[in-house]
Amino acid sequence: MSLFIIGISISMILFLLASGLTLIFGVLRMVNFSHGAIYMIGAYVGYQIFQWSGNFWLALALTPICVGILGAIIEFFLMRPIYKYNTHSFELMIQIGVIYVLIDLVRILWGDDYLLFLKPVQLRETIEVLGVNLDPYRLFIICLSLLLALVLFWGLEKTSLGIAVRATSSNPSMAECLGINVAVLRTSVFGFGSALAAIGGVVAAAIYPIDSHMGDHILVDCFIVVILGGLGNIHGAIVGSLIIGMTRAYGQYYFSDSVNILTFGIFIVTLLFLPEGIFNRRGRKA
Amino acid sequence: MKRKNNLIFIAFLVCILGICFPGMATSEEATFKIGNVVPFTGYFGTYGKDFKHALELAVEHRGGKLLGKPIELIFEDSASNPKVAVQKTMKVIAAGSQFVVGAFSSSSTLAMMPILKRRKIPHLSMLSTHDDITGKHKTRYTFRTSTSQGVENKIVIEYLKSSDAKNMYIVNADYKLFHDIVSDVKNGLKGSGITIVDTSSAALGTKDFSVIIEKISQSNADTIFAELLGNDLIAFMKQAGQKGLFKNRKVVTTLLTKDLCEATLPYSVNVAMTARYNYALKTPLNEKLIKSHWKLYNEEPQAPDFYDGLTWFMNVIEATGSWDKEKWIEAFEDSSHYGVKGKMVMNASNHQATQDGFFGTYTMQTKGSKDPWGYPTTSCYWGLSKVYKGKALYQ
Amino acid sequence: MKEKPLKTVVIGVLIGFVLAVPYIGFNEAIVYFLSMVMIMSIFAMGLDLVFGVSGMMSLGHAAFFGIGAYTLSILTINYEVSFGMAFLASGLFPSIIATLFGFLAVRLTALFFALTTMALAELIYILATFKLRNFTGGMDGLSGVPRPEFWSIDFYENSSFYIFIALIFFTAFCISAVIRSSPFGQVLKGMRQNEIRAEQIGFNIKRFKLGIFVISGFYSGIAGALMASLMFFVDSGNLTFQMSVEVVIMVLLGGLGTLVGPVLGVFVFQLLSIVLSSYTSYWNGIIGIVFIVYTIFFPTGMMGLAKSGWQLVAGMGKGGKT
Repeated sequence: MSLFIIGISISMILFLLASGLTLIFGVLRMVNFSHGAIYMIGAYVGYQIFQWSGNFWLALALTPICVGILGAIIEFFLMRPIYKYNTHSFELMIQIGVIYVLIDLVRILWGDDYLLFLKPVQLRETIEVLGVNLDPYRLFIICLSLLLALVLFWGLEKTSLGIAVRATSSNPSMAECLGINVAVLRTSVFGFGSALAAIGGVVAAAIYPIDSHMGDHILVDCFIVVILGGLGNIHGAIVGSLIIGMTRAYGQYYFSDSVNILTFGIFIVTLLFLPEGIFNRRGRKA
Repeated sequence: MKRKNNLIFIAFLVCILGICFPGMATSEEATFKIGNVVPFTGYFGTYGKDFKHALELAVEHRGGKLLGKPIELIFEDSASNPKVAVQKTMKVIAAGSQFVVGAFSSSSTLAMMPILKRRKIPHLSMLSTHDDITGKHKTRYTFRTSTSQGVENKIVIEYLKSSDAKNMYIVNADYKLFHDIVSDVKNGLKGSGITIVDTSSAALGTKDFSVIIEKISQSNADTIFAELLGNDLIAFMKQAGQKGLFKNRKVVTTLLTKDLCEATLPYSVNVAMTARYNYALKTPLNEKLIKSHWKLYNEEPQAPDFYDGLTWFMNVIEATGSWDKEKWIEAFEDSSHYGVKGKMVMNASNHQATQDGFFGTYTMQTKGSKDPWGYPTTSCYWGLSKVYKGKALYQ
Repeated sequence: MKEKPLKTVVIGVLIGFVLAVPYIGFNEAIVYFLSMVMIMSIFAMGLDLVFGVSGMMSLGHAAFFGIGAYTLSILTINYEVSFGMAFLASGLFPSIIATLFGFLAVRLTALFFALTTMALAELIYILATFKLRNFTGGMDGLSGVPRPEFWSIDFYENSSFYIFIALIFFTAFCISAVIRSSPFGQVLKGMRQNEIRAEQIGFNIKRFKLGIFVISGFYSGIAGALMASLMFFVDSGNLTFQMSVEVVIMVLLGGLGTLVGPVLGVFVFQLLSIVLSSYTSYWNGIIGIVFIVYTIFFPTGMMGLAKSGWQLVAGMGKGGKT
């Protein structure tokens, strides 16, 4: 039972990142390699707010706002100038540049030492439910992510903003003709995706160690999830996260030697045979 | 079109010349240059400045001079990457280093060794633990003043045998060095009455140990041997501690340094650990190091091995009175040193310094308590429980 | 007609100069640095054949480089194969693996291809570092990689090895030039611009893609082998995503698709890294800023800059005509 909860909580942290990544791809048509670095910044900013205020919940609330704004700034100044070239290689180069700069920025501001970040007091002791010892913090992660997922789904389906996002995802020029300000939308989505990644960062910082390279490791899994679920497809992202999260958890338990190979194997097979993802009906050429 | 390409190539050339002119100047021996290739960035980047401080102190304590010339310490970043370490080694050799110190990670050190052997330049390794450095790949020019992994393993085995551990669970990083450590320890424990319940390995960079922790809690292990590095160890300690895994289980490791202990309080209390250094040991050199380091940096010495090793070698060089590197090597092979860890003797056959090994436990200190030297303690304090004499360890 | 003798002379002088470097007073660190630059340039040229000329972005080229490095090391250290044979194998084995990548290139569109190459290279990295660690030394790597031995030349002397590397570099450079201007190269360029049209004209796209991948794999493999021999050491750091990304960036910096671009890009990148790292430990961040500024303001790379510069100069001479 515990293993199940662990698996779901890993999946949920992945989902927080993957949903942002897939949204950004859908609307901006860009694979955001710097997403992992944004997650990392979220962890550090969350840590800092926690240091100043002593309050985890405040950190959780403020960090996504700060990092979301940072994301929007990055998109506005660094990504916009290169859209006109329409090649992925330039985007890659800028994103790698952003990663290097963010990592060293973090090193300058917080140094190279290990940082200590604790769970909120309310969630530290294990609770017993139906005879099983559960970790309340992991339950919290699961609940928070599910809540955000529901908000996302509802937002995309029911609000006009959501419709604008979906319209721009499927046909940007048409959306522009219909009066949607695509440029502003792009910046907002990038900012929002970054905010989601930041929430993932704060939440993870309490249980995972905070270091300047924490983004590298999680980014790969994130890509796998996004491709599995279909680029641009949020529903797919949930399923993809669950598949990869559970694979990681159960794989580590039963075949700890081969977990990585298993995960990558799934990735490659999916890319070869189902590049549109498990859920996309139409092929999505990039 | 083609003309353009030609001109580009000429411009290329001019660039080479531009950086090469400085390279063409030859330097005289106005100073005694020591090349130091240590990590300032990358995975082990957090330790670079500690090494720098230790080395600078060693130089300062002998008045900044060696063989009558002022000592010049040249620092280059190995970036925790063997390829870069080798490149920087070439750089410090070209800058006229009389000998080279470095690196930190064993793979970088091993990569540097053939180059230094080729150029007949003495090489001092401190803190790289791989057995091959003074074993399979030893060279005439490389000396190691810190302990080897094989000896650390011996200490752990001795400790486990003498403790009341019955069932042990091993968690290690999925990295060849750690697999070797684990098999060494497993072999050493054969017939000792200690059962190895299970072994789990985690890829370097693993953040989530919950599954392994789950496995441990379901087993009957009373001891956990956790050989994980840096952030991975932090993640394990935090997550396991939060799950209450340590309530009736003892953790043994060789890798929980002070900074890692502090980052994982309160779960790191009572962790048993081998150490290469006993802070409380009262020797004249240790006292000198501790007092200077506190004065300058307001904290305990972070890299005493670097201070000790460099001091030893510089003393040896001074005693030869000569600039002949071969003489330094012969003298070093035949030398001993009474340093920050007590007595160390250089083994001429493999250039490994024999030294005492220490074992101890971490305790948590309350604010305002003082250490044996009178300075305020940090929250984590490693207290000695046993000394393993050098002679027996290095047979 | 007047250009030809001038061009030959200039090129001859250049080659002569590069070969003379170790003997005219440059110190050993510079020789070592240039050796490394030439090796990475061979790697970059290999990548550019696939990326710049044929238009397929690969984010996993480090796999070929690393496999080449390991092939040479394992064959010479563990199986005592002669350097020459091992060197050849270190080009051939990666090119066989490259055909696999080529197959994928045929089936996948640009973005998915890039991500697949990334995933495949990661998989190879994981295999080499963990599963096959007894074979490859894992993260500790393998020491004792030898230098070539023939004609009683002591290649352990860095200057001699430098000449060896330089000769291979010039050969690779010429072959790359030949490929680009050959009919084969023209088809590849056409394929980059419009794959569908190229196929309609009647070219067998699959064969071309496979072919160029094989060549690219060979280039990358021998570059890896040379690197291992230069350092007497090989480890799985040669197979990382970071390595793949760095070589892509070096090609972009220098000028994608140009002949000299990859070489320039490697030179500038390596120079920057070395010089900056002795001034500050935040050199990665500074390099990141360089990338950003470069992409926004000079997307055609250094070759593009040089061309614009040349046009400016030429224009001024002709009375302001642009």
